[in-house]
Amino acid sequence: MDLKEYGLIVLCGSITLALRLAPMLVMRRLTDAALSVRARRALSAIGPAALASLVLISLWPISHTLGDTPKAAATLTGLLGVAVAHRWRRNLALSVFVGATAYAVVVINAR
Amino acid sequence: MRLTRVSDPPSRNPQRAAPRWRRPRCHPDRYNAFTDMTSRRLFDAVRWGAQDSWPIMLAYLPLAFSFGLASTQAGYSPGFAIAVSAIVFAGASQFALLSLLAAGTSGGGIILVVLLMNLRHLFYGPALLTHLDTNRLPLPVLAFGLTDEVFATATTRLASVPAPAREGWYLGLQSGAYGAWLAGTASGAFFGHDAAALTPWLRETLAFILPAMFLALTLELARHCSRSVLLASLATTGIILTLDGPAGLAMIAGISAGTIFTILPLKKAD
Repeated sequence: MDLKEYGLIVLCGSITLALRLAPMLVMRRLTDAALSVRARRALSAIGPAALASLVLISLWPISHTLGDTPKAAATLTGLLGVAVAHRWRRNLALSVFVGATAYAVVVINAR
Repeated sequence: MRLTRVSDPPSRNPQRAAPRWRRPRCHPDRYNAFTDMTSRRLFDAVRWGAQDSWPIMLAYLPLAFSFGLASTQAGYSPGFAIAVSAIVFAGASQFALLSLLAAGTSGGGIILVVLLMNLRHLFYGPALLTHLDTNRLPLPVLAFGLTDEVFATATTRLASVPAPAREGWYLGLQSGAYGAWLAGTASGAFFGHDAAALTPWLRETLAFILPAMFLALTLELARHCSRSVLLASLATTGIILTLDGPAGLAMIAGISAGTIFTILPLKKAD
C-alpha cells in the first residue's frame, strides 16, 4: 500500500463531502425571500422522490432472483410484513423488525 | 428534561382518547423549552438521534462487513479498509473504488466514477436544510454523514422532532450510522474469514433489511406527500433500471421526475 492510494482515498472523500456540502452552502446563503414557492415545493419533493427511487433500487438485485420461488415468497412476505406492521403501529423500527422476521421465517422454512 | 417526539395528530373525536402507545410523552407546549438549547439538552438530542439510527445500523453492519471482507480479500490491509470507510463514507462508491483500485484503474478514472456515483447527493443538502432552522453546528459536520439512508430517515422523522433539537438529533442519527459503518468495516476486515460461520439465512435476512427500511420510510412519507411524486419517481427509476441503466443515473432521474411533477400543477395555475 503506498501513499498514492491513500492520497486517492482522501481525494475521493473530499469530492464526496464537496458534493454534499456545496449545495448546503449555497442554500444557506439564500434568504427565505429568494426561494420561490415553486422552489420550496421542489425541495420538499426531493425526499419522497429519493425514497421511492431507493426502494426500487434496493429491491432491484433481489428481483433478479425471483425465479427462485422460495426467495420470491420470502421477499413478498417480508415486504407485506413491513406494510402490515406499518399500518398497525406506524413505527419504523417495528416495521423493519416484523418484515425481516417474516422474511427469515420463510427462508428458514424453505431450507 | 427528556426529549420527546411529536406524536400523530390528535384524534378527530376529542371524546375518544388516542391509544396509549400513540399519546405524546409530554405536552407539545413543553417543546418550547428547547429554544434555549443548553449543552445538556443538545446531548439529549444527539442521544435521541443515535437511538433512532438503529434501523440504519442494522442495515449498515452487514454491508460494511462485506466491504471490509472484500477489501482484505483484494489484498488490502484492515487499516486501509477502515480508512476508506472513515474518509469516504459512501457505500456503493466505496465498493466501486475498491474494485477499480484492485483492477489498476488510473486515479482520474476512479475520481470520475466516484463523482458520477455520488452526484445524487447534490439534491440532499438543500432538502435537509429546509427542516433545520438553527445554525449551531457547522455545515461540514452536517454534510459529512449525509448518506442515502441518513437522508431518507431524516426526511421522514425530522418533522416529529422539536425544531430546536433537530440539529442535535440529526447529528446523533448520522453518528450512529457512521459508527455502525466503521464497526462493520472493521469486523469484516479483521474477522471476515470467519464469515462462513454466518448461516446463509441470516446473511440473506440482513441483506433484506435495507429494502425493508426504505419501504417503511416510504410508507411513512406517503401519508404526507403527493402520490404523483412517488409514482413519477418509481416509474422513471423503474424504466432506467429495466434498460440496464446504472443505479446512480436511475436515482437522479427518479428524483428529477418526482420534483418536476410537484411543480407542474403550479405552472398550470399560473
